[in-house]
Amino acid sequence: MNQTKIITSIKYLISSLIILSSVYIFVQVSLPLFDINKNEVDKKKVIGMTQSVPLEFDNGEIFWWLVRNENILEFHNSSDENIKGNIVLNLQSNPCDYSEELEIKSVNKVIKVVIGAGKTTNVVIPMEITHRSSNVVSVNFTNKEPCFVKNGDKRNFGAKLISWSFE
Amino acid sequence: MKNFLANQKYQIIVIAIVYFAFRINNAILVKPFFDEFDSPPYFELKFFPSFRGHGITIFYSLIKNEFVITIFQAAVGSLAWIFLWITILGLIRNKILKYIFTFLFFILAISSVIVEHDSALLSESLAISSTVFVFAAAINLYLRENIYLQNAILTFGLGIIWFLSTKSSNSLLLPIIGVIYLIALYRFCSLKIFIVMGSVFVILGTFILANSLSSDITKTLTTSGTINNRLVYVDEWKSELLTSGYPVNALAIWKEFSESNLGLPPDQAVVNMPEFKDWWKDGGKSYLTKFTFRNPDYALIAPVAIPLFSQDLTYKKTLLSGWSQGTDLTLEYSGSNNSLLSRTFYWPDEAEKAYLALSISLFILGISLLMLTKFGQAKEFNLIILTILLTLIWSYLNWWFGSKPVDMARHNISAAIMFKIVALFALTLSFDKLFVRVKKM
Repeated sequence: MNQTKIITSIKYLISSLIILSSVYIFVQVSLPLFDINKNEVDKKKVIGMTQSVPLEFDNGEIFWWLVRNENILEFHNSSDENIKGNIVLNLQSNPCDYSEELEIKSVNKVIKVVIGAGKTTNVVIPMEITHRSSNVVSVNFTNKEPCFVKNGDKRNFGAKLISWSFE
Repeated sequence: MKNFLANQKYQIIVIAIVYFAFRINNAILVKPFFDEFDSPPYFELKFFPSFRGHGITIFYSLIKNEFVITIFQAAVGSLAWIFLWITILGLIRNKILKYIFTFLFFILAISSVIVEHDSALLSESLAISSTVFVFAAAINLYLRENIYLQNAILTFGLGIIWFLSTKSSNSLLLPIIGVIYLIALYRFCSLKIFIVMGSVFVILGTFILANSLSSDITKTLTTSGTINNRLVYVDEWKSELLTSGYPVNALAIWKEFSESNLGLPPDQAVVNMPEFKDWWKDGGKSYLTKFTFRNPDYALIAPVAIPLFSQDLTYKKTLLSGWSQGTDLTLEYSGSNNSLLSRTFYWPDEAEKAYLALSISLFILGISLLMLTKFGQAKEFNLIILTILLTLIWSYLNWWFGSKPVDMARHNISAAIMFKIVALFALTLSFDKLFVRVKKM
């Protein structure tokens, strides 16, 4: 084999290696990510929540009092990937110590929940959030009975949101 | 008017003016982006040692005004891209292909991933422009006929010096790119010119390289970030790290500061530890370099396929992520609200599509190279392969010593752009040669 043929063969080999690398990237890297259940980013770290009620603290622990009017919880996906999972809301009953009935509305879904008096309930809301966008969840209390406290706080209390997570 | 528009020379002038105006206009519309940590050193002009490259600090310290700097970056950037466009256009013989190439070229050249850096007071805009300029100058020198050879070689030399001086990682390419330039000088010029220009080039290049090696301001942070983002995920690497005396509690500190905002970024929290400082003095300073040399699998495979070593690691931590997605100031920085830019089809925002776009670029490149080989276009093939090789080496150096997952995209932006440009360039050339052959049949 003369020198020209060897050089030409090497060139074909290099070109083929580049094509193979493109196939590898497509099959191993790109294709698996088209499945919404697979993500490169840590889902727990890229979903954030903003809410229509103020953030409060109790012995250094954060919580939110949800009130009887509509409460809006907005979940934002700051990543460049579409993310599917469950929002888990950890709710405690109102300070008036009677059970609460809730209606939680998210995209195309309505979930009805009852929180027993003095109890803590986990509510799981399935959710799919496209990249760099938000989904809104509204929380409404359906029982008519009001809940006011006697310390001057004029809010009509619903449930206490003591934590949330995305799983 | 009809004649005016039909004249190719005038078409080129009109397109160039429109592109230039577009970039300047966008720089005017966007509020300059100032990074509190990274931007200030670019305004300090120091002879030696200088933390930031003189290719940036000279301009920033002379102009001073942030807004004017962004206009300057837009002007320089547009001229570099126009130079590349005209250079490639000079190689294309098929008229229709010229129009198709121009369309595809400017869609890339106006994409946000490239133009948004004009408004950032960082090194990226001028670094991208210098890369594009060097590539254009190389094409001009090696592939174009009927050019003024001495002007072409001078332009190439100036382009290389500018390129080396814009980023530390660029300057590390001096040993390779310097030899290429000296060979070109020797081949194309008289002995007298070779000695004079070669000496000036070697002195300037060595000064730039020595300058970037003189500073290790961010080295501790980079080492801490690299260890905790990569090495600790693989048992073998982690055990080697701990054997070197790396403090075990530094792993817990990193975790603690990563999980919640405790006032310091995790890499800084680790660097502040007395135990880390002791380890640094006892050899930690050169740990990453030695580790890279001792572990060829880490050095060669991990930069592009680190998930093969641990299932907890993703391609987000590899160069493939840096090469595919580009940056996103227009979405992340509120000062870009008035920006006219969009990512375009070259840079899909979602990770899976961005990887797909990279895969398509490489596929096009591979097919085009096969065609160029088939058509016996040796010079074109060699230039493209050399460019790809330099881009790979540049990216690997960045990954080994600098690019944590958070800055993977920004640190590899020049390489990401080069992959798109080279693929488009190779495709255009191969089709041009194909059309010439078909016409002859």
